[in-house]
Amino acid sequence: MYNYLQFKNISTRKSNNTYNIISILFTKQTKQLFWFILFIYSPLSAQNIVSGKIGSESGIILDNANITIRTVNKETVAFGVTNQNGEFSFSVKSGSYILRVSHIGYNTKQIEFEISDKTLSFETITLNEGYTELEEIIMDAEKKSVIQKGDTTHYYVSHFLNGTEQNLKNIIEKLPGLSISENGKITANGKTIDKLLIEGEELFKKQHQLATENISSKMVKNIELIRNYKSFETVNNDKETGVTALNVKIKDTYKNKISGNVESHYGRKDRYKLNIPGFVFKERLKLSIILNSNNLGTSPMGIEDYFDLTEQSQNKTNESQVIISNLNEVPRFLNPNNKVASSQTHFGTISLISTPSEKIKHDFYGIFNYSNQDEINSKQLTFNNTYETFSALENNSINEKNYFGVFKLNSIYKPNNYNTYQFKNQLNIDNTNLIKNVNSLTETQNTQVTESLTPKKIIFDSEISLNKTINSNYFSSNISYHYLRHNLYHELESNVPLFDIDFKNRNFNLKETILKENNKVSTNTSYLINKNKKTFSLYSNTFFSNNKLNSNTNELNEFSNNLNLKCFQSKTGFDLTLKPSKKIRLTAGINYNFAHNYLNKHYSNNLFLGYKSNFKVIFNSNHITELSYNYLNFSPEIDNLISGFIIKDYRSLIANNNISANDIFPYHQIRFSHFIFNPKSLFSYMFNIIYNIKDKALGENIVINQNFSITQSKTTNKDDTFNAFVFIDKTLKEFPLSISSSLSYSWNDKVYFLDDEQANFKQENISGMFKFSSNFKDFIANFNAGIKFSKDNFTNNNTSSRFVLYQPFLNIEGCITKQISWNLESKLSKYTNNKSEQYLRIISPKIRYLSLNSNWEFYISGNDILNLNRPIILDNNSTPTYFEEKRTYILQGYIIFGTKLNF
Amino acid sequence: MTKIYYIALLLLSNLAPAQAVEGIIIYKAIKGYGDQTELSEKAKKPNYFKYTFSNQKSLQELISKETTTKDTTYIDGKSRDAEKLATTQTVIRNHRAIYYKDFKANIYRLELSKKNAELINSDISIEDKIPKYEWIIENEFQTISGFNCNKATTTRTISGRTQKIIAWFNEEIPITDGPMDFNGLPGLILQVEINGNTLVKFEKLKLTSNKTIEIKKPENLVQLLTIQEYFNKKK
Repeated sequence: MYNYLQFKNISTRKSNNTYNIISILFTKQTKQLFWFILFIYSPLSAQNIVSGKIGSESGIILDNANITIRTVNKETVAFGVTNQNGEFSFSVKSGSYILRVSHIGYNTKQIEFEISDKTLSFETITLNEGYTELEEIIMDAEKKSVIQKGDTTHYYVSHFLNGTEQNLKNIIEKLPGLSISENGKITANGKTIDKLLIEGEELFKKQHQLATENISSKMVKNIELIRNYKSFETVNNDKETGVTALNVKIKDTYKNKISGNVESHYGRKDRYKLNIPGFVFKERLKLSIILNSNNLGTSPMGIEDYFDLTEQSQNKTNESQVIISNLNEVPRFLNPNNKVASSQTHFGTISLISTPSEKIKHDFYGIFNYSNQDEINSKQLTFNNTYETFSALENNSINEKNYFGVFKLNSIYKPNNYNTYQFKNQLNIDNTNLIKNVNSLTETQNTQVTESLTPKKIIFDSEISLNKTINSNYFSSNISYHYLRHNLYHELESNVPLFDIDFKNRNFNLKETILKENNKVSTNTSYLINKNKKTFSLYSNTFFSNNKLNSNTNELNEFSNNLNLKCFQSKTGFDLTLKPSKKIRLTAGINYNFAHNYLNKHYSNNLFLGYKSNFKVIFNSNHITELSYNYLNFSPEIDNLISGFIIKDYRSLIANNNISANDIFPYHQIRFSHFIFNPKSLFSYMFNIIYNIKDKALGENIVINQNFSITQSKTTNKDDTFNAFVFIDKTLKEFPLSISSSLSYSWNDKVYFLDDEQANFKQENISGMFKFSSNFKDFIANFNAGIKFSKDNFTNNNTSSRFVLYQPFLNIEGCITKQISWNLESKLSKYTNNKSEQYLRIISPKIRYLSLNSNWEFYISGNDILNLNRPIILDNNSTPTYFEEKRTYILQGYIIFGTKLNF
Repeated sequence: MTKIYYIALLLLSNLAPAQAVEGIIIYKAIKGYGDQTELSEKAKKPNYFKYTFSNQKSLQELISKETTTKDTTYIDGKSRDAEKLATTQTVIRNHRAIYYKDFKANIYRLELSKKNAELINSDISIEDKIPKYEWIIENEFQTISGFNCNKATTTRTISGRTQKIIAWFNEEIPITDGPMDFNGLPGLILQVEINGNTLVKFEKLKLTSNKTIEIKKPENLVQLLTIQEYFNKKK
């Protein structure tokens, strides 16, 4: 090899070196020099070969190992895999590179090298065994926990759980925006959802608590909240139904088999609970059976559920109708369970939804409930009549046995997407046996009364309906029949005369029988036309009813009623909805009503109008604001038209002052609501105002004397109610914390008559709740804490009575190991009446042991363990007749041991 | 002596660290073919495949329930005699699809079954060498579902039409495989875009250590053809 430098030294001419070199080109050794120089000055054609062999440290040849050659700037210049012999070979330009060798199951190796020679051969490169660093990667396309798709909010439930959950209730409480209200209903953004669906079917109707407490958390796959839900029987093409539904999806492993559990608990003082839910989820059949027997105060339904299950299905126009009945028709077992001294309940529910084909659906729902409960309370009643104020101290001991059953069968035939035919039937049985021992002490006498009340009620409803879509128009029509029979036997035995009645002998015994019977046939038809951006709706509702009311007490004339009311009423109206823009809806409607009444052959009639208007802005399905004004009317029921007295209890009589069959009570209703739910920031807010103004109302005239009071139905000129409610819920993303708070302010201001003189009664309530809860996923415990309060103020003319309840609470739950989870609920309740104060400290610890390899769970549960003996709370249900301060015994606390077997 | 050596080798190879990869691949149309640039709801619905890689073999199997559908819509005519015009929309989908690759033995097996536009069933069974792609690795990186992926492009010609393929692979997962028949990059291909019309991507991915999954060659429903024989037959 010629050394370039050598040339420089030899050169003697002191001229340009290049010139020297070039001049040498033309000497004898030119050829070799020439090629040498060319070789140095043409780097473009310098391709080198890099090769090598890859093996493992244990001597295994690694074929299909990945080889990548990159420049120092991370640019890949060559790549490939090793052959069966573990060998590789690449062609690269001279330079510096990084050789990267990787193979699954081994640690990746990177070697820096420089190449300028023709070939570079690596000795066997050995890779060390190891696992690719990312040992277990679960790559999820969407790592979000709450996703909004159109009108549906999808909750990816597994993201919110931490393993201590037992049932659907525990899951719902952890999802942002969803919560369970005081009476067990599921709420979304503060408002109760319209439908609860399990696998798309409304298996539990409005009895959400049956679902939330019996569906185990292991069965739940995912939950979605659907706004503008359309059910199977809907053919209306309107995309905005305004119906909110929560759909709970069940895991596939629980489908097509019988699943459920057997849970039994027993503790001291014979406190027990046995609960057996069973479910079958198949594609064409969904069945749920729940059997329960307990004396812990758990009931399948509350007052809201009772009205919902016994409601007449005629209420098609979505207008709230208020029916005032004085016959004490609501069974006592519906009172909130924390106000009874002892309670025993047996109930069973069955729900079966079968879809034998795409066109037919059968829906059977039945609830049967037997309850036996005792109430012990004492009331300080203060009466104000125009002349004097007096009070009575009343001690009550009440026992009620009630048999309640509701059975609904609904069949839907949907031959195509344009027509639906429905046949609905419902049977309601409600029998009560109530025995009340009352001891009432006033300044003048000591009354001891034993009252026995046995109302027996049976209601039957049947309806056939047709819904049809014609082009983009919607037609609906139905005909229904309603039958009610209410038979009441009321007996009072007293030690002193009651109601200033002249008793013939010293036997102060009153026997009252009331028989009420209603037969009603109604038809409803409506036609909805959609054209361009307008919707025009025409409707007509007509009914004919025959009502009878007979009552008799000891053959006394003043206490007898023999009423027969035949009504024929018809309502025809139309509504117009405009959609000036995609987000705005304006509705206005007017309806014309006429009513013909025959009350005991006395004819009367009436004509009246109703109005409605609504303004709605739908920013998106999670942000809606609505303002509406309705002008409605309601007519009195036969119960308000009585001519003789009806005994309500040992010191209250019901009568009628001036209500007649053709009286109409109009009221104005203004509603405003605004709600926002943001699934990205997990924030929800709702604001709601309802204001009812009545210029002519069905009020009362109260006549009070020392021993009893008479409440007469009388028209008054004012009965206004106002309710404002605000709810805020936010789940923080930076910290695992969520905050929820709600505030409600309502008042009822009405005019009533006291001895025919005008008086004013006002009831005001402020209540609120503030709660913050943690949602640590891996921490040993989670908590939620807050405060609930409620303030009631009753003002009757110039005197007032108040009731305040403060309830700070702290609940902690956690897991010790995967098998043991615990839960501690603690609450301090402070009740304040006008004169008295009562504290109740409630602590309820629970421990659950989950046996991993079998289906057993074991429990030790305590409820209100500081009050195992006769706890008392205060209550206040003041009315215009009296101010009340009540002390009532509540259910004792208990400690029970239980097991649960899942199948 | 040699016997002991071979037994020892056998034992050692069994002790070789095993790592398997399992995942879910989603295949969806992002643009229509021909004159239909707007895809119907049905055509937009994606296909789901289960992907398994273990011991130098990989298997991709269709798991979502798919079938060819032909929907007829009646449109009310605006004319007085109210004639109804029928339009049909056909979406052709495979109801069975299996891609099998054996890298050690260099075997590629493809099983496809579908109903054509006349709703007649047709099956394809292919066995051939694993298709080789000439990839160009570019210096572009993108994060796909949390993984830093490198871009690679190539073209392929099917029935005379050339398609542009954009693939994104991740080097940390040293498997030279990818969805469908794509392979040959120094890392697992996590996403492929075919000619701007179709998107194939890994939606879920799991690497399990200490596990070997048995992957069997799929059974063929009809006679086996090589890729060339299949295209010849189509003509």
